[in-house]
Amino acid sequence: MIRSNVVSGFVCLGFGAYVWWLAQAVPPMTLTDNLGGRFFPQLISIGFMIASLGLIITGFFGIEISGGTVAQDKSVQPRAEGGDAAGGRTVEQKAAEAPAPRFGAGEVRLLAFVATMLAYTFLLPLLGYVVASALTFAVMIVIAGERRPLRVALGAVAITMMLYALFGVVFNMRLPVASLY
Amino acid sequence: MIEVAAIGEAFLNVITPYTLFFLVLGVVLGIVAGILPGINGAIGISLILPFTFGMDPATALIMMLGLWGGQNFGGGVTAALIHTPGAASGAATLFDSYPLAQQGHAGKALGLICIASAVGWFLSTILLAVTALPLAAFALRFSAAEYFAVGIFGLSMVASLATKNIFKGALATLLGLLVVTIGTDPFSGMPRFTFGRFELMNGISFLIVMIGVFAVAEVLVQIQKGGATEKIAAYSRALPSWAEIRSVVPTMLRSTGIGMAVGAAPGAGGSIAAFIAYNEAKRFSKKPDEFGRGSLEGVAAPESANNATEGGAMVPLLALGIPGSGAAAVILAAMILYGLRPGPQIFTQEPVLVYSLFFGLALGAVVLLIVGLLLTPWLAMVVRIPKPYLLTGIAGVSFMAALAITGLMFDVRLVLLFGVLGYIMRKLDFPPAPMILALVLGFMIETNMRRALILSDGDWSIFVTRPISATILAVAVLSFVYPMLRSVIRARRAAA
Repeated sequence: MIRSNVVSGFVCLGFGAYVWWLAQAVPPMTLTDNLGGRFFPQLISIGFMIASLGLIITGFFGIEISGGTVAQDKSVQPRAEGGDAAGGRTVEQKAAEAPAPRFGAGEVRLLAFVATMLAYTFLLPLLGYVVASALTFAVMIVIAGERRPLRVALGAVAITMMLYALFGVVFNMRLPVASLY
Repeated sequence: MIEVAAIGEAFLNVITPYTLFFLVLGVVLGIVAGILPGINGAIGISLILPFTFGMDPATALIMMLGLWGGQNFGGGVTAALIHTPGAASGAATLFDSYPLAQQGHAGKALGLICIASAVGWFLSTILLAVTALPLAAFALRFSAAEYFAVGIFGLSMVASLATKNIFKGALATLLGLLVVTIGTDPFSGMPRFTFGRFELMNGISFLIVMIGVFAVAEVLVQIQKGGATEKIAAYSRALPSWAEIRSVVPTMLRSTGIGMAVGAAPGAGGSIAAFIAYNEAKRFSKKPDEFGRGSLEGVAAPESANNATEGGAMVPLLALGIPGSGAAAVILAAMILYGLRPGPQIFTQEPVLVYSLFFGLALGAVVLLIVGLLLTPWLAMVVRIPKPYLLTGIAGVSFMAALAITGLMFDVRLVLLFGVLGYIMRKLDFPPAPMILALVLGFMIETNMRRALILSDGDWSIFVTRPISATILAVAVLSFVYPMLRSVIRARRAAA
């Protein structure tokens, strides 16, 4: 059994059913259009649920039906002996087959980075582009692995200025201004 | 259909300093995008797209085409220097260019990569100009039913895209189609799936999804992976000699043909073409034992092929309005944003634009040759940017690009949402490319299906009684089913 496939299959199945239910609220037909806005989304949601079932069933029996060029890739890739592309892929495959995902430093970095990005979208209108960006970029650089304070500060300021020059000056975009002060 | 006046006007348009400047800028940005790990043509084009809004459509599209071509070359640069292709299309270039660079001939390797790329790009443009017109002339007979069929055919290419599990490919495709249905219903004008948010009334822009699932997701993958930046060894800048260039001319021509054909076929992109061309070059070579140890033919073949896929992919894109790859899908989205409808009519309605694109592509190859040979030694330094700064920079660019589209913070959060979705999809082997294809084709499929059914008074047989529509649908079904059958047959054979 490929557990990740079965689980993601069930999640997709639930999502498909949710879309079907949502689409019930769309008017089925109008005077000129006998199909209406409901038909297409419902058709897709049915397809979505069928594909989810396929993923659950094949996942349960441990089958992966690969599509398209993956099969061709396999015939070529053994030539890439020692190649990073081929090497990277096998490592990823092994990671995917691991029974339970380990919650390590990588995952902490990931969640922290996502949280920082989300915070950025709230800070931008509040503090304005320059302050919000410099702060956020500094945090991002630290999360991504740079710990020397001077370099973090310089890097954050440099990236803020470069993006400002590119978007604000060259492309003449209106950057968010502060509403707090 | 061929109008001399339009051709002349297009040529004059393209050689203006304004257009040439953005073409050169596009090529340079493309080379940088190709060199940066994880940034491919689709990401690069999505990131510059919001900023081209004020430009003349032809100039903007030429800049994007330049970026696409430059990116195919840039991927090869890092393959040669640090044994890591900056883009998937450079993966096959690795085998011979890296050994060549290690032997102290980095200049030769990069020079050859540049020349082979430019040759593949230039020749494929000529082939594009020759083949796209007749195809478009034929497609002029299409009505709603045929366009629905073409859309379905475009989707069927999902089956030939690389997916580890066809059900995941199907789910990604259908998810893309569902995202398209968000917004105002094109027929009734009623809001659909907008959850009461006014920001969703116009639907979700392709760009939002693309910047999310490509650029932000890539940043997240890299963040989780961690690790340091690689170092480049010192190298000589001597370029290849004339005799060496001449010796690989047959290989470059053959690889261009392969790249063109693979690019025009839906689903397969530069990386597949490069692998096939590499294998063919080895098969035809007089010195096959040199392959893998710094063979010049082994360097030239994949690079000519991956650049030629661009011209190839433009054939169905311009003539039928179906994209053959992720980058082509972004170009299609860009054309739609500019109010252009790629498809047969574009040749009669916008002949100047189409010819401008042809000239722009051809000139782009020349620009790549010059810029590539001049700048490569310095551009290679881009890979020395330490990862923390690079990833932060890409995240910042993604956010600013999202903000440029509508100016709404809601859209920036959507980019983040799609970034997380793209990350989860990557981790679970759900391919993002089919979702983007579906996103681009979804509107065409739904509106033409409904339009055809209005025309036929709700009679579904309209799709199979019209000969062209029936044929295209049959081909679509075949191209969807064939890869599955093939894998089943192969499994049988392996079991027997």
